[in-house]
Amino acid sequence: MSNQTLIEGNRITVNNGVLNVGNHPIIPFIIGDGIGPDIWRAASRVLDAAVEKAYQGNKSIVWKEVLAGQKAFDLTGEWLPQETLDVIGEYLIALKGPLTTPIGGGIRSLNVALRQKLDLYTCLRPVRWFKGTPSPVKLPQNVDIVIFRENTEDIYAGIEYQQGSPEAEKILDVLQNVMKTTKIRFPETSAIGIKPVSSQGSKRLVKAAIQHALLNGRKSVTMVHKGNIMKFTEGAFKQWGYELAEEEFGDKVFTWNQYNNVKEAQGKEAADKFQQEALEQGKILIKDMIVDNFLQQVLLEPAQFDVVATLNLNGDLISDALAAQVGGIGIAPGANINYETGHAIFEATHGTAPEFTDLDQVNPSSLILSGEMMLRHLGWDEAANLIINAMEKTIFSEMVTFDFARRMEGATEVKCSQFADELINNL
Amino acid sequence: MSSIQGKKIVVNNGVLNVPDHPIIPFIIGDGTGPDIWAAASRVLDAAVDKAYSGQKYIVWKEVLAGQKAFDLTGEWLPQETLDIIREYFIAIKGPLTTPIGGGIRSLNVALRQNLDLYACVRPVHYFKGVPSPVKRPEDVDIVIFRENTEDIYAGIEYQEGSAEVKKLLKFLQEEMGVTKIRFPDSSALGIKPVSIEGTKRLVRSAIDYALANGYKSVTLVHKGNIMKYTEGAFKNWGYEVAEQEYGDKVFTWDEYDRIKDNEGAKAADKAQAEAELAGKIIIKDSIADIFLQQILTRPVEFDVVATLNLNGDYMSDALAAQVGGIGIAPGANINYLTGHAIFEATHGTAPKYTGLDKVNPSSVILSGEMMLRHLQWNEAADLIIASIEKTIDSKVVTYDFARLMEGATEVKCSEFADELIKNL
Repeated sequence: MSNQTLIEGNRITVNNGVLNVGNHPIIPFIIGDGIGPDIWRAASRVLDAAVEKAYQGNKSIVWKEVLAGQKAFDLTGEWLPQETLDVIGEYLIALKGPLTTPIGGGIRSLNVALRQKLDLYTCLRPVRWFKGTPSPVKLPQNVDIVIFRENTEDIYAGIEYQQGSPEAEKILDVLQNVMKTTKIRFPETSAIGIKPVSSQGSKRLVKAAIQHALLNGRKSVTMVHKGNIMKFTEGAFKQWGYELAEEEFGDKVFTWNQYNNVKEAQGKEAADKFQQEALEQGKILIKDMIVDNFLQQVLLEPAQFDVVATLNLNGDLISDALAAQVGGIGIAPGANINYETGHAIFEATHGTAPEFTDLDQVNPSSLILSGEMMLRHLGWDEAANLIINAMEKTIFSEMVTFDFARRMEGATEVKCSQFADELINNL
Repeated sequence: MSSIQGKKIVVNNGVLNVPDHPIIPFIIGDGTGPDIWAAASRVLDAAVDKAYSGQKYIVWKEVLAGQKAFDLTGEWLPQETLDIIREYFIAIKGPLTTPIGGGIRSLNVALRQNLDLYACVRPVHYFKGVPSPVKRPEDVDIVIFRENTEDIYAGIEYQEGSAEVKKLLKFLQEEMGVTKIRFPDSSALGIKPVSIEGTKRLVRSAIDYALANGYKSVTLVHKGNIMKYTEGAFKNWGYEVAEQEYGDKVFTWDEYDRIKDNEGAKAADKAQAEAELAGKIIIKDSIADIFLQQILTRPVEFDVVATLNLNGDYMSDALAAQVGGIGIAPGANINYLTGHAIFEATHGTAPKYTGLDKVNPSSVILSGEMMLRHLQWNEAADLIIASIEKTIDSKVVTYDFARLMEGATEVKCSEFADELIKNL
């Protein structure tokens, strides 16, 4: 009780997008439904132990539970109480377990509500392999990629009109008779979706990706797009990205746009030399790749990618494909972040797995690694590094939960809580 | 002389009537095209000769497109080429040069649009010995039916800041009540049309193909959890066409769900197991991102895949890379209703290798193999597959594979064709 003042903690504040964390930040958490409580207990113990070990008690997280999902519904009658949004709005950073699907609504609506309310425009998904993890590819260790997926627009925004509805008829009429498009193959029976891509939305996302690359010593940012087919949306994303990079990061980056300009003016040799010099000076290479080629290259030569910036739908497909490649479907961490306001929610990327509720059986790594991302986001790299090391060591020692144990020869299967114990031992 | 002239293939209600000596137009292609064509046509002719002991053969008829057409006629895609392919139905095509300011796409798109080739068919198969980034490439044996005429791929777009986009944004916001555009003032817009007719004819072709070729399932791959009215409708329309038109030949996950709702999961599992035993084709679906994961983690679950244009583009290329087949993947664009089909190399012209007799001709050869199978000349097609398997496994390969294979013997494009012919 003597540290009552510590337990109360401090509120994280933000100034021009820079976090002021304090030594005992209050961090709201959503425990999550189904397996949520099991993995939360495991994850919070590991996170606390890592912080304790890294800073010998000088720093600690003061967890503050906020309600969402089934638990919120049972206690308050609401799936996502206003108070939860207000508290996260105030405290900026939160950690979240998986949430139940409200009937007729969808887990998406809770996540989407959180994202939209806080305008969390980046979906951040780091993908790396932990030695020993069963993977379908021969060289999973060559993948170490951080994906910045745009989170607020693209065909993913959900603007759609059902085939045969008066709305679809109205928009088809405008497209054909006012906009004069002749490219709709079967206008009589078409549903219509709308894909908005903006310069503001693209630029803030690419900016976040470049800042991340600079801050974390990454060598390149690759903009992944389908601009060869969708010139004005995906092609523009690429162009706006290059523009932003050159305008706002000037001498810290070298872009393929600059490369092409030099090449046209002075030839390929000069351009190669220019790029070589820029890279030797530690500049970040800003490049781009067509999505389908990217999906091939992540299999063939993944080492050429560091940070990736991409549109919403591409990002969804790429994140999941890469997670599978490193055997990480059940353990992939993620975050949704607005780097301008400082709001960020770190979260498990898997579902609630209700059949495993309270069995202390599932793998808590997704939430733990999301917590690791959070620590790094707070600038607590020492604690974050301890967690990565412990994770590497524990998985490699083959002390793993059932999901990995059944695919690893000679593994020792442990419970969710025991896996946390092992991680803490290995910190 | 009369036999050399050959006969036209004719089509009745979408069914091909292939004479013993069909005339087949070919576009030789630019860059490495002539090298590849010289190799491929020899292999195809030899396979047909061996399979039918001279009873059948193809009478090739060159038509012009690309650089060669431009040099000879001043046009990239002469009307005569379109007319001839339209008349003779089936064609085979090498890679085409990118016209400046137009794009290779415009030639391919012009061919596709002109003939309304609505299915892009891409079989993905592993050949033993091919260097692959995954541990079990042999588990992949998937035929992708990609819709080819609609989706966000149709190219209906409005540039940010243009008068058109302002007009459309104003309409969407003021008349359609749209509030979901995050930055309307700086947005470009793309339009994604997905239709009943477009979806059903594609899914129908995929099911027909599965039935004709003994495949066990057709998977509808879509992103309907997010795009309910376009990609979700693709799935629903696909289930509809399966149940309405194929009745007792198929069992759909839609049926499974209905049985499950009424009688429970056990009854549904039983119904599906019985359907499988009865040789029915299972029509199922998968969300695009999950599909991209499962082709890595359990590819054996997929046989024939039917999907929308953009998804199909991504899946075809991802799968080709998975089996090490980027340079050798075959493809075809087909309208199963009119009978028009163009079989083609899926790679580019690789101009720096022009005339060097160096590159791998497998993509056109395997496209030719697809063509032979499409003509029901399965015996010749089987010979080619067996020969490619044998040749690659013997490590006698062109430079692209040789540099990735230990102990390989590098051969020229024409020598690779010689090996294939020897191994027929």
